[in-house]
Formats: sequence, C-alpha cells, structure tokens
Amino acid sequence: MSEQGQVTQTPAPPVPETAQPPSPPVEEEKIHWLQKLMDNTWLLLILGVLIPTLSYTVWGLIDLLMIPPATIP
Amino acid sequence: MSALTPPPKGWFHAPHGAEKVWIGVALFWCLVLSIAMPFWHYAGKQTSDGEAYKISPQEYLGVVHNYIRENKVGEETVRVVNPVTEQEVETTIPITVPTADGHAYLVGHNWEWYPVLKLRKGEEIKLHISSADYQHGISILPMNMNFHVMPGYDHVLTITPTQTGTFDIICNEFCGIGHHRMTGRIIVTD
Repeated sequence: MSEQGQVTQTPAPPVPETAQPPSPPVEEEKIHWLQKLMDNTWLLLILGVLIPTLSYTVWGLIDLLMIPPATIP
Repeated sequence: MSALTPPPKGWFHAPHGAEKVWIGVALFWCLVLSIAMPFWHYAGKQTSDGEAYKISPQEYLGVVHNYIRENKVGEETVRVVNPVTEQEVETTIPITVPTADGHAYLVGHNWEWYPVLKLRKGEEIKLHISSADYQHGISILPMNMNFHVMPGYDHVLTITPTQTGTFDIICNEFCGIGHHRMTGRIIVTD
C-alpha cells in the first residue's frame, strides 16, 4: 500500500520460456507391414483376383493361343 | 462394424517363436515341391512335354481312319454292353501298328479307346491322342500314366514301351453314362 492509500500492483516477473519442462516428442506408432497388408481389404481383393488371373487364366490362354495347327499326314 | 473395416487395434501379433519356425518349415516345403515338379518332369519319364496341335475332331477322325486303313494288322472281337440300351453286342476293333516313321493314333470317344495299338518293346513312337466328342482322360494301366484328352487338340506323347504285355486303357475323366465301360488296349511285343 502506498502513502496515498492506493493499492499498487507490482508486475509479475516474466516467466522464462524454459521454466516449463518440454513435452516429450510424440513417437509415431510403428505398424507391422503384415498388419498394414491385412487391414487393407481392397488391396487384398485386388491381389486375390489379379494373381490367379495372371498366373493361371491368362498364362493358360496364352498357352492355348500358341498351339500350332496340326499337319495332317 | 462392417466386414470391410479393420478389426480394433491390437489384433495383430507379428510371427514369433514356434510360429516363425512353422512358417519357415512351410516355406521351405513349398520351395522343395516347386523344385520337385520340374525335376520330376525330366527324371520321372512319365510326363508329357506338352506337345500338342490344333485339329478339329472331324479332321482327327479322318486321320485315324486313314491310319487304320494303312496300318491294320488284325482285329479282335469283343462283346460290349451298350450303356443306354443295356444290350450286349459283338463288335470288332482293329489292331494297328505304328507307321513306318513311328506315329500311332488313338481316339477316345463315347465310349471306347480306338483302335487297339500293337507296339514293339524298346521302340520309341509318337503316340497321338485326341477326343472326338468330350473331354476324356487316358489312363494306361498298370503303370498309372494319366493324361487329359481334349477334343480339338492332337496331344502327342513320345513313349518307349519298356516291358511286354497287354496294357489296359481306361477313361479317368467322367464322360457320361458309359464312362465306366470306356476301355482300350495296348499290346507290347518283343
């Protein structure tokens, strides 16, 4: 309290920025690649159709188309 | 939760311990079987090398009838049961030898293998096989040599008989009501 009876407020000291402990860095959760694959239903669907189609159906059709005509004796 | 949404977090556990061992064993066995297939193709000596040609059933039947006319050495009489009428009838089947350049022709149709082939032990021949109607399966017994026979294709097997005797042929691809009576014969002599 001052001599005139007025209340004076002393300014609060500035808080240094280093006063608060730094927050720990957020670590990205590592997801196993197999889990990523298994969770991707559309990719699984595409692979499940594409791989047999290419390795079985398309390969077979190519084989059939490459059979030459017989030479009739 | 739909079937397409992934399950809640934490469902997946990376393979570990004994599970890893089993996956390793399974992969190793896949590898062994994958190598065994091409290996047995050459070492087994009972595998077709896939030689085939396109030919219509009518054309192939013409080839077979020409072959029979020029290479018939006899015929045998057999009694067969008509699978539709259940009547037993007597019929003759020609016995043929390979051509001079070592080709023999066999056709499968409902329901017989035609004609009877007479081969020489140790002589390599090109055995042509086709179907005049549906898909059949030729099974040469008792060696248990099996091949698919498709209409429209002349399948060529390079074979060398290694023992004498009479060998039965059956159809191992269900081809209709007379499938179980579809037989034929290969005679191998010295």
